[in-house]
Order: sequence, then structure tokens, then C-alpha cells
Amino acid sequence: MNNFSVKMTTKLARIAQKRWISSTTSTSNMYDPRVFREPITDVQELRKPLDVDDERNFLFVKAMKSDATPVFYRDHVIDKLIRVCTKDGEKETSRRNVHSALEIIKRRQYKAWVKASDEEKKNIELDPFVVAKKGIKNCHPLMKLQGVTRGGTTYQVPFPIEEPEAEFRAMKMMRDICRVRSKHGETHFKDILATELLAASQNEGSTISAKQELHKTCEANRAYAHYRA
Amino acid sequence: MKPFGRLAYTTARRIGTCKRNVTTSRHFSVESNVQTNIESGTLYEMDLTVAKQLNMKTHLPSQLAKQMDTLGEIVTLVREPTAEVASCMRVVDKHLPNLRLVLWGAFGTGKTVTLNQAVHHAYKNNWAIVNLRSAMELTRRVKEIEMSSFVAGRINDPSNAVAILQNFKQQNQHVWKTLTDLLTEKDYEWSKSERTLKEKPITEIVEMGISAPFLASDCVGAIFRELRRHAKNDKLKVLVAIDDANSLWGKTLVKRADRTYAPPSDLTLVVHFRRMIANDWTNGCVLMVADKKEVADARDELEVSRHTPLELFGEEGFEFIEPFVPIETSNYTESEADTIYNYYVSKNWLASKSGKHSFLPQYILNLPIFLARSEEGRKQLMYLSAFNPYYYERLCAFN
Repeated sequence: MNNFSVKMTTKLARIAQKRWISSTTSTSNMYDPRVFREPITDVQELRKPLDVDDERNFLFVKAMKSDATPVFYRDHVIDKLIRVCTKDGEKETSRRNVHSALEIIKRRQYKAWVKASDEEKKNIELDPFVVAKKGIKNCHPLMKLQGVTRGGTTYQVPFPIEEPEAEFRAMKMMRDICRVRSKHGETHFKDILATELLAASQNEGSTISAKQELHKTCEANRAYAHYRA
Repeated sequence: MKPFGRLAYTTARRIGTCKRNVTTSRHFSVESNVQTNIESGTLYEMDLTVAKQLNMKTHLPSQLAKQMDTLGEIVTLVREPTAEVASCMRVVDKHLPNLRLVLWGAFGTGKTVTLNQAVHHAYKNNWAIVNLRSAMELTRRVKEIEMSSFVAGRINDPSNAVAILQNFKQQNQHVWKTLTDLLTEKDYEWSKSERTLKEKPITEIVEMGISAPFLASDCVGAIFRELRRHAKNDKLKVLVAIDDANSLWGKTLVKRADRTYAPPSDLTLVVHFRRMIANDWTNGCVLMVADKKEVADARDELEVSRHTPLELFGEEGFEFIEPFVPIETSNYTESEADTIYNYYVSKNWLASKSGKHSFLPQYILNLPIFLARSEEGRKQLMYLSAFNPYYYERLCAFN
């Protein structure tokens, strides 16, 4: 019996492999961990000579990730936003969208800045990266809801989350809202994303209200908190 | 190259090379009615009211039009090709056949911008301007067609013709007074009821075309004919500026009655513009842009089409426009990129600046951050855009 089940799982695994269905985390990838090491992406680091006993002196180095190139506008949050907004693996399109949204933010802020008096100018942030990061930061939820099945019923149980996950959920909420709005060519994704980011940086907009809605539901479902296991 | 063309070419070359004095002013000096000397490497500011009259918002590339809207001014860089065009426009006179210049170069190197700077230069010198935003509109973006009553088999394009006439009227407000003083050569009988008599102001033709779209295509031909005639008689100088001019010999999307595509030579407006390019008249300058978008397939990422005039105009077109002065537009040099960079810094357009922001989490602040205003940013902007003006502007747009 035991032998049979092992046989079945190996067979299933083979089918899964053939059909590109992955049910588990991959144990190996194209880079054999015995001969490949991580690349150096920091420019300052790159200029220094390698340490004598560094393994990279005689082993292969993995290719650099496309969003790890050391350009001056490299930004953790924006790169993550690009990844989150990617659809069907079209990262180039997504990058163009997000960067266009940044451009729109900058143009709006610049126009306001030109009109403003010297006193008001100090309060207007021209850097679109800062505006976008502030917007995303304001959308971070404090909790998440996760379905937990107990006795045949699924309860939406609030769970606490770490900073990176909060960031991801903030981006995902914003992305979903923008996608719905830009459906059927109502508006362009970049336009609505720029509007949302600007509004979120002022603590306004649909994403902020979605976050507040989530907080309310978490509050309502606090009785289920003991289902966390 | 035919001998006459070579003469014009060498004259232009000589004039172009001897005008290289040093200027210190940021913007190019403004003197009315004088052929001002254009210095390459300086910034060129157009007055907003003039830009409005010249319809720059639609004629400039859309990114620059947006920039004009945001910054509230149009400042472009004067580069070698503009200086060359300006010096060529200097030699134009009533004894020389019209000077044909072809701007060519890779994508984003400033062909259209140079063309628009030349239009502005013509405005400064009180030339009449015939400007076409894109010849592709005449061949590929034809909304309605009408069969010509003037020549059998010709196809009229009322909407584009009216647009051309309106644009002509708008762009030539500075010489409109002169144009009203110029008289028609002969009676024009547009239809049974409409006619323009001999010895009437030629602007009446324009008004006629604008008010009656079904006559507009013929009116375009008539006004061009009158302009050529008056230019020959030294009444005024004419600049003909055609963007994507190679589309006049390209393919069309206009269908005839038997559902085949009409060749461009069957389109009335195309024929009129080709006559304007032909060098059987004097005292004018024809500025053309050879653009890849006529032949390149935007979806084909494997094939890269050439951007040289012969490949783009084709045998027929090339033979027609010969002799001409080819003017190549190229990528920025380091000093040109610096000029633009300094302009953006002075306008506060490059926004990302150093300084830590208290609301950001610590793990973001620990990342190495290079910024656009820094020396590192200046260098990276140049190398990331590979000195291409279009990509340089695109990078500056969101940083």
C-alpha cells in the first residue's frame, strides 16, 4: 500500500513536471547551486577587487535581474509596484505604465508649484518618487483577512502582517482598483494610477477607503481571532 | 547631383561654415525683419503667442507639446541642422531655383523639431509658410473622398484640404496683409456658380476653400500656384515645410471604386504638394523630412529599416527631389546634453533631489540612492538615453 502511494506520487510529479504544473516550491532552478553564486549589483561594491577567498573567483555568477540594474532612479517601492502591476508577464508594459504615471504626477505637481506662492512652494513635493512612496505607505493595511475553515465553515479571520506584506497588499489593492477603472478603455491605467497615488499621498481616494473598509471588517471579525492556529 | 543643385549646395555649405561666431546670450536674439544668425548650441525660445499662431501644439512632437504646456514656454536647442537650414534659407533668392533640403536621421534625433524651428525662423523673416504636419495624413488618414471634377480619375480629400487651408491662414497671419495685396493671375471657375475673378487678392481663394469644402482641394492647388508665381516675381519668399515628406511617394489607404488602393499620384493634395516640391520655381525653400514611419512596421521588431533618403523616398521620389541638400540629424553631443540638462535643472524640472524623508521605512533608506541632480545622475541620463534626444527627454520626464 505504502509502496503504491509512493509510486503514484512520483507518477503525479512527472505529469506535473511535463504539464508545467507546480504544486511545490522548486528545489532547484536553472542555476546549479553548487557552481553558481549571486552577482554583485552595487556599483561601489563592483569597483572594488574581489576578496581572495571569495568563491566567485572560480565559480559562475548568476545573471543580474532585470530590475537590479544600477540606474540612479532605482527604487525598491517603484520596482515592487511594477512587479505587482505586471500582467501576463509583460513587465515592459507595466514599467512603461508606472513610469508614465510618475510623469503625470510630476507634471501635475509642477503646474501647481509654478502657480503657488513662495510660501506654498515649500509644501509641494515635486519628486514623483516621493509622492508615490508616500501614497503607497499611506495605503498599508494593519491586518489582513484570511479564510480559516473550522467545522465545515470558513471564517474570515484577521491576521497581523509584516511590513513587506502590508506594502504588497497596499499595492495590490491599488492595482485592482486601477484595473477596474481602466477596463474597457474608460481611462488609461497610467492616468488612474497617477490619480490614485496622488490622492493616497493626501490620505484620500478609493484605495484609502478600501483600506479603511478592510480595517472595519477586521474589527467586526475580531471574535474569530482565536481561530488563528 | 545636377550642376545647378551643386552650386546651391556649395553656396549653402560656404555660408554655413563661415557663420560660427560666439554668442553669450541664452536665448537667440530677436530682431524683426532681419535674417538673424542662428548659433548652434544655444537655446531657442519661441514666444507663446507666436507658437500659438504657428500651431506648434499640433506640429511639434506630442511629448514636446506636453512639455510646452507644463513649463509654460517652448525652449528648444538649436543644433547643427537648424543652423544649416537657416544658412541655406539665407541664399534663397529670385534667381536660384527653390532650394530643396531633406532632413534625415535616426528616430528621435530632432527632425521634426528642426523643421518647426525652421518654420519659426521663416516667420521671423516674414516668409510665407506652407507647413504640413505629416504627409502621411494625406495618404493614410483620409476620412472622406470625392472624385475630382477638374481632372478625371483624381481623388479629392475635402477634410484634409480644408485643414490645410485653415492652417495656412493661421500660420500666415504675419504676412496676411502682403498676401491680400497679391492678385490672382486668371479667372478661376470653381463650379457653375462659384468663381474667383482675375486681379483679385489671392487670399480670396483661401476663404473660398474654407467656406466650401467640396472646392477646397482645387483651391489648395490654386493658392500654391499663385504663391509660386508671386515668389518667382520676388513678391515674397516661401518656405514649404513638409514632415514625413517621403509618404508622398509611399503607399495609401484610399480605395477606388474597384476596391483597389489608389496610388498617391491619384490624390489631388499629394499632386499639389509634389508640384510645390518640383524646382520649376524660384525664391523659395522646400524643407522635407525623410521619416521611417512610412516604411517601418511598428510590430516588426526583427527588421530594422534604413533611414537614409534613398531608401525612404524610393527610386521615384528620389529622382523627383534630386538635386537636394541632405541634412543629417544626429544624437546629442556631450555638451548639447549638458545644455539641456542645465536648462532642466534651472527650471527645477529634474525633481528628484537628495535628502531623507522621515516617513519612509528604514530598509528603504539604507538602499543606495543616486539622484538626477547629482553628477552621477547627469552622467547616467546621458548614457541611459544613449545620447538620443527623444529618450533623454523621456528619462527626464519622470525623474
